[in-house]
This record gives sequence, C-alpha cells and structure tokens, in this order.
Amino acid sequence: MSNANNAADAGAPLLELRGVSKEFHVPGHRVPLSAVSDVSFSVHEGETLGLVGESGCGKSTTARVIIQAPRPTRGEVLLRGVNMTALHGQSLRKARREVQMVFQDPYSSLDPRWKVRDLVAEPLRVNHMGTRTERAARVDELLSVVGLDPKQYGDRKPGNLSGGQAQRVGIARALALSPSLVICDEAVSSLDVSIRAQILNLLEDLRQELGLTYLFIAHDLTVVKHVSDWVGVMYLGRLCEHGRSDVIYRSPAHPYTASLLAAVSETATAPDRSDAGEIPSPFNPPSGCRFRTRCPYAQERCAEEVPELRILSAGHRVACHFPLATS
Amino acid sequence: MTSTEGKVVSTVDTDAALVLEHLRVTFNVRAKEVHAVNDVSLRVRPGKTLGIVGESGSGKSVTVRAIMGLLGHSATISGSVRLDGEELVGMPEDQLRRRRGVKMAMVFQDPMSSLNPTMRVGSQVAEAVRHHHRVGRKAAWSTAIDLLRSVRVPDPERRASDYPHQLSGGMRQRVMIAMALSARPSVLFADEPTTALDVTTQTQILRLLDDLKERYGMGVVLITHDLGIAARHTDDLAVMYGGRIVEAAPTASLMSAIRMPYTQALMDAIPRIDALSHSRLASIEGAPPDPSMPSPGCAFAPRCPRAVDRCSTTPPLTEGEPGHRWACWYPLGVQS
Repeated sequence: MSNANNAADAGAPLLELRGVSKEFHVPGHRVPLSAVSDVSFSVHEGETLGLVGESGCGKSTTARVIIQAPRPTRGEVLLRGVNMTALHGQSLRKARREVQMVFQDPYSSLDPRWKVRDLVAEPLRVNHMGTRTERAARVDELLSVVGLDPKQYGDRKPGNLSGGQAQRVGIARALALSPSLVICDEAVSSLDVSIRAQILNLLEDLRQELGLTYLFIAHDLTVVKHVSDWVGVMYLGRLCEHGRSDVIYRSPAHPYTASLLAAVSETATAPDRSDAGEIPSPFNPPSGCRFRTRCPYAQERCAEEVPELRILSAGHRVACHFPLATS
Repeated sequence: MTSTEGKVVSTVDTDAALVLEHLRVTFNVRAKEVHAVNDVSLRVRPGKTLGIVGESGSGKSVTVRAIMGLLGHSATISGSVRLDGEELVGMPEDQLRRRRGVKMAMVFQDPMSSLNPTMRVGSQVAEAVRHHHRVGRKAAWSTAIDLLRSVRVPDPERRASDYPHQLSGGMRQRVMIAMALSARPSVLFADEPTTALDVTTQTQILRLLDDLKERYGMGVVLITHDLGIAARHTDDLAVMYGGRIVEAAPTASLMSAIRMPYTQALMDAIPRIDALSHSRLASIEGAPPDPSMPSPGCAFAPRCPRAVDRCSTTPPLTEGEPGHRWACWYPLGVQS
C-alpha cells in the first residue's frame, strides 16, 4: 500500500507518507486513541493536496505528524526522499524549515505583544539567518509579498490588525524560511467571506510565484475544490478516498465522500442522514470499515474485513468493498 | 430621530410575529458613541425564516442581541421592537424578562458553552420545561423526551441521560433547540447555529429549523455570514453592512435580481463546488468598516467598484420594487 500511488505521477514526490499511524494514550482510557491509522499518500512539487473530513477525522494530526511534532507511532514521513522520522536534533530542525504551517486562528498564533515586523523576523532570528540588516530587508520583502505595506503595518501589533491582515502576517511568517511545503490547517475557515476570497487568491498567487506545494486541510469542500489538484478524504483516522480532485468531485467512489458532497451541493435527492448516528469513538472504532456504522450500503463483509486503499482507476484510490459506480 | 428611509414598513402589521422599526443601537465606548446598528426596519413572519446576512461588524448579531435584551447598560437602544404586537423598547426589565426565553428564544453558535457540562441533557431540557410550565418532574421529563424526539435526537430516552460532552456538536445543537422550543416561542433566533458544525451536520440542523418553523408556526431569524446558506434556507433576506440594511426582499426575488453591489460581491466571493482547480475567486478588496470609525456616505463605497462622488452621501434604503428595498445610488440592473 505504501507505493500504491498511481502511475500518473512522474518523478519523486516532495512529500510521501507511508503507512503512517498515530495513537495517543489518554489518561482514563485503557486503549489508545487511534487518531491516524495507516495513512499513505504523496504530494508532488508544485501541486496542492486538499485533505478533507469532519472534525476528529485525523486531518490535523496528520499535519502535525508530518512535521514530527509529535512523531508518528508507526510509518514513515519522507521529505524529498529523506525519512523525517529517522532524523534527530540539528538535521531534523533543518528538514523542518522546508515545511511550514499556517493555522486557522491568526490571532492566537501571533503573540499580541509583538510588532508585526518582529513576528515575521522571528523564524529568521531563531534560525540565525542573515545579519540584522539583512533580516529587516527580508521582513519588508515578505510583508510586501503578502500584500501588507511594511511602512504602514510593520510597527502594528496583532490587536490592531483585521482578521485578514493577521492571517497575511501568519502567511509571511510561514514563508520566511523559504519552505517548499506549506501546510494550511483550516487557514481560511474563520475569515469573513470577502476576506476568505482575498486570502485564497493570495495563496494561489504565492503558489505560482514561489513554486510552493500545499497540503491544504479544510472541512469545506468548496474551498478545497478551488485550490486542489488532488483530494484526500479522511474518516476516523483513515484515508478512505484519494485522487485527482476533478475525478473525486465528479464521481466519488466512497459513500462517505458522496455524503460529504451531497451535503455541500444540497441536492434534493440527498438523504437526511440525521438518524444515521454519531461518528463512533476513536477509542473503539468499528471493526472492518470504520464508516460502516453510518454507511447506507454496508454489508456483512464491511464489518469483517478492513477495506484496503486500492487503485480504482489512474489517479483514483478508494478504501471500500463496494465502491459507488464511477463514470 | 428622523428616518433616512423612503418607505416605512406598515405600522399596523397583524401578519408579523416581530416588527422592528428604525432600530438603533449605540454603544458608549471610552466616552465615544459607536453606532453599531443604524435605522434597521424588518419584519419576521410566523412560520417563515428571515435571514440576516453580514460580515463581522455588520451589526447583525448586535441587532438580535438588542431585541433579546442581551446588551447590558452600555448600549442605548431606540426605535421600536414589537413582538406579537407588544412594544419591547422601553419595557421595564422585569416584564421584559418574562417575554425573553418565552415568546422569543435564541440558539447560539457554540452549544457547548450554553449547556451545563455537569447536568444530563434530559434534565436540562426538563428544567427549561418546568421553568415555563407548571408541571411535575415526571411530566417535565417526558415532555423533554418528546422535545428531543421532535428535534430528531435518535433514541431520545437513552440520549437524555447523556452529559453534553458525550454528544457530538450537532446533537448538542439539537438539545439547545429543544430547550429553546420548550416555551413554544413566537420567534426563534439562531445566531450562526451551524458555523461550528461539520458540513453534513450543518445541513441537518438547517433542515430541522425549516421543518420546525412550519410545524410550530414560529418565526425564525437566521443570522449568518454565508449568503449561500441564507439563500437556501430563508423566506426573507436582509443584507447588513456597516450597521445598516443595504438590501432586503423576499429571498426568491432578491436572489433573482440582486441590486446592491455589496450583495453581488458577497455572492461572487463564495467558493463554488463546480469551480476549476486554481481558479480565482472574485474578492472584495479592503476590509469591512470598523463601526467605531464610521466614514460619511455609503459604507461600502470605499470597496465598491461602481462608487462615484455621489456615494459620499448616504443612500437611503428605498423600496425600489415592490417588497425589494436597497440602499444604493446606482443599483445593479436598474436604469438610473
């Protein structure tokens, strides 16, 4: 399964996850919480993978495991072919510079007592990049890149920024060390509609200008549609479908993906599945397919056998015993 | 205070559960007056949903909190708020308290912070029932179960014994709605009730509200930043910007002929499920106005691609077409 990525990909991927699992030991529970379970996917340079799923599906844990904070319980994370899970100390810190994150709440990820200028300079300073003068010039450049006039905003503190401006500062910080991979974890989810569009356009411009690769984590499938080349759908810690975004949005093969899309497009035929029950506990996930307790098509086999992520067609993998007919 | 409005909503309005006329809310912040809500006139029909759409600082939540009497003493409220024909503005606090939670109820964005984490959810609903009706414990409990069933909590007898943390966000929101329904309110306010929920749950809660308003003949006010959601789940729509209503009409007619450039820009900025990868969104440059720093004229003018000199004078909210009001000197699709 680790090399189950499709033949359409050319060259070595920038990021590759091989059978990554993360379990947490939670006080008061005998069994560990299975947050991420046997997840494998890869992202090629310059492409964007959108990772979607409901809260608790493990998409944010996947992001954190990639930067080895915390480390995965099992599996490997490869960045340009280098196994991050085997790195320690200085070499890990160096590898981590290549991967930066943009978070959901721009205010809580910025120290309110610091000036914008110092916030953007911090990653440079911590990593001993350049002289003080060189860093100041780089900060001005970074602020301009994210659309903030350094003269106007450099000396402000986060409290004097709007939500959109604060998120621009968050993006400038993420770009400071010239990363190859930027992980956007619900980066536009708490922004106003008009501001969200600005930030999405900015991220798209930066991708083209700087040749960035994104792992774009979001619960909003319409937002993901705008930015992604590839889409991965997670449910209860497992990757249940992965493929080219146009393919997945046109003809989802996993019943869970189909239900997510039906909720967004709100077609008249979409069943109201409010009686389909709750997302099961990650301490005690259902046997076999984890989605089977809410799946309208579940059969006996789904309780007995874990569906492996298998290739359905070029650029399309699904973990389902009875995938939906695809066009 | 004189009205800037061209045509006022009819004063005798028997067909409305709630009528707002020229509602103004002013805060005193550091000896400075901040006009958070300016001259808002709206009506909520029984059995129908009014959507109030706006971004942060648009005044949508302040409007509702003013009606509910949740703003405290720093807020000055003027104008008229009539609930089932009864004037609430200026009503003594003890009388107002009897209307609040009885004839009108509210559901918030985050159900967890409104529920008592140490109490079983069934007991919390039963407590609400006993607060409004003279019934015994046993009767209140069975009413609570019925309410939980009516908001489609599966297996309500068993679920009633759960604590809030044992429920998902969607189930907690259903419990909140059950509590709000316990008094059979005339108007239910839902302030971003689905923003914190997952996509599949969002749809369920919105459909539940659609269903309940018809079943109970209750007016629903849905406050949201998402024009797409409002378009699908409301009967009437009001778009707010900078503390004012900038466009209002029955949802169907508004969506078929948007007049206010801001409403159109909001619509265009919504990501589309059928968009191509890496396609650009139509964004609105700049940021929504800060209510503490008002600029003269149309509040949207600094961000409006159609703005001209005249827009430095505030356009009145006028009924340009029957039932369709807008506040714009140069509305879309209309020959001036």
